[in-house]
Amino acid sequence: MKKISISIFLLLFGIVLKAQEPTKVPDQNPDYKKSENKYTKGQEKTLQGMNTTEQKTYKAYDWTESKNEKKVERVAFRRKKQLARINNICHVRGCNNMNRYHTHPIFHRR
Amino acid sequence: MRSIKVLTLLTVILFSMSCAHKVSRIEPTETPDISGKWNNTDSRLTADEMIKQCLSGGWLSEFTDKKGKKPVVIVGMVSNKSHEHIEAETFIKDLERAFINTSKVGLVQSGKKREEMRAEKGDQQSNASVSTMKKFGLENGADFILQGSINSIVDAYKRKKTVTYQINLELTNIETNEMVWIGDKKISKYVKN
Repeated sequence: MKKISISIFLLLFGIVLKAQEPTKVPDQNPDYKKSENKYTKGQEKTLQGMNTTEQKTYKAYDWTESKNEKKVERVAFRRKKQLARINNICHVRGCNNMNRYHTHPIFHRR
Repeated sequence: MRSIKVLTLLTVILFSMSCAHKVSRIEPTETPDISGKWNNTDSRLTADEMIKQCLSGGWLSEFTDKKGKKPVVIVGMVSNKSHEHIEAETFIKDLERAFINTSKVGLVQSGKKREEMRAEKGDQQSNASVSTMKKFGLENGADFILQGSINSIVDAYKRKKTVTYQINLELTNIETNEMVWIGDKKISKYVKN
């Protein structure tokens, strides 16, 4: 009686295990579980980019654009330099001095 | 004296009119080339070409004959490797619309929209009535994935410039990893400043 009940239990256990096992498709790679486990974990990050355009643009050299850029840079640098000079005068002589424009050597050159 | 005043006033009015900000409406199919950069016309031409190539490709009839159902496509990532900012969604959407309108190809949602859809489904699990609640795990699995790339070649000297854009879209069978279709569109421009 005991033997019969054990064998029935083992049979049922086997059936349950077999039912839990995913059905295999013919010609399926036996190691498919490795890949399945790898790609079912942490795939959210990879899939976030779907349906989007990944911008990996580069800067093409354009003679005219490059010339214009250099011009803009030059003007900005001059302005910055001028501002720095004026601020320097304020720092040295004090901004409240109304005669600073006439006393500083930069303005003497004009 | 009065005539001088009138003339001055007229000149001022004319000058202000010529300097005024002006907007005129044009047909989306008639976008003129202004700077020579990627524009609406390029996107439209790409979409037209891709729709034509994709729906007439052998992959579609082959799949339908083999499986007895229309293929389901998911849109993947498009890489822009050109020198300009180009949004691929403009022509990808046209292609998706053609898929749905012709009823030859099925589409499934991807990316952030799919995340939103799943979040809504998750919300329904605790807020919607049992009869209207949508279940997890019943989504349609895609048969193919659509991916693409945009490349450009620039040749510039002094005031002359030639730009060639190459847009490629690829359709790959997700199960077999087999590439079944490659769409290609080349656009060349000559720009003189």
